Amino acid sequence: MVRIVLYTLGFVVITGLLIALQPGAMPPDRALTAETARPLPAPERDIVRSADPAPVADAVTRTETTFPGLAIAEPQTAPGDGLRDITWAAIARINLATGRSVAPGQPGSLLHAAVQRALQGTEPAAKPSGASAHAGDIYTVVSGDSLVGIAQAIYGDANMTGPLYAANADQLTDPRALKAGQVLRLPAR
Amino acid sequence: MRVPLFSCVMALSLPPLAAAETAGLTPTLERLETQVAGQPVTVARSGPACPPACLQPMEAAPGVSAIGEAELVAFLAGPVSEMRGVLVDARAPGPFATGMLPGAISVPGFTLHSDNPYRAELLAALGLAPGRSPDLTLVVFGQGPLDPVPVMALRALFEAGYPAERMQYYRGGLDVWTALGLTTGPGS
Repeated sequence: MVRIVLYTLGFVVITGLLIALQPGAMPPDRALTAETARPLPAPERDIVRSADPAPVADAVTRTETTFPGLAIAEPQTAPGDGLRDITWAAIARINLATGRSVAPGQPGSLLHAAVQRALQGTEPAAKPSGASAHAGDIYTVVSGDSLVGIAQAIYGDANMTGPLYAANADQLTDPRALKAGQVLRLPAR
Repeated sequence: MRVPLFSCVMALSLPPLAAAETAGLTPTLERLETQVAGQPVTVARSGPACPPACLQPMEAAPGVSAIGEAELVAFLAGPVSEMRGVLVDARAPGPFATGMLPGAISVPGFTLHSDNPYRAELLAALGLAPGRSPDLTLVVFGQGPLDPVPVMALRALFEAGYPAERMQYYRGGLDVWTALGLTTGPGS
């Protein structure tokens, strides 16, 4: 009985000693302070960091007073996220200005600009050959002409092919049957 | 930490704001004293200190030409309206809001520096990507002939491989544009 009590006592004491002295264990009071202290340094660091913007603003205003628009210090001060936002905003503006962010064909798009450019390119060519054809005007077919080409050249409008064919239906058996030297009547637009 | 240091250096290097013509001409030449036909001739400058506000060169980067207002108007009428050209305001976003050239786009100069991790996307938007040659003509300007920002932007573009014949430098900038009574704004 006494032996059992002594064994139990020894077991409890040794277990207690092992628990108390195990390597890497933190004393309960120190562990508590470590846990409560961990969130504390963050605000402290924030305070240190927030002390920086004052000189930053100072530098910017100083460069602006010496030379408006001279923000040579900006690249160093721009934080990563700000730099990304500014870069993406610039990309968006470039895409807008070059017509890449607008739906194809809409005003402001690259396709629209190309179409307008192409139309402007054809109109001056049409004008010298008489864009305002009156009833009674004639056109002599030369080798290589087509009705569409003539309509485009005279009226600046390929949709005038039909009226042109209708006005000359008596001498044209087929819209493609044009002969060099043939004289076509030009309908009024 | 670089910034406070920089501001301190700026503060120390600032001249006393008197009429003393000690602002400097270029980074290597503070003032010129020479003789013309035996008479002493002096060239000095008062105003913002150089560096950074130095007299900027006409050739911002090798092969990049400088243009004037008439050429800029023609550039707006031609390439810009046909979406083959972009008028680039290289100034930082702050001053851009106060006044701008008509049709200009803000691309702050520091976004073109090689230390910008997002520069590749920006260059791609300008048409500069591996295996692709840009078809956009750029005219870059800043605040004025003393502003180093557009020159640095053009040099950064040149070093990134943007063809020099597709870049032009409007050296007059907003200062000369407004001094001539020309319209400002709107841009984007």
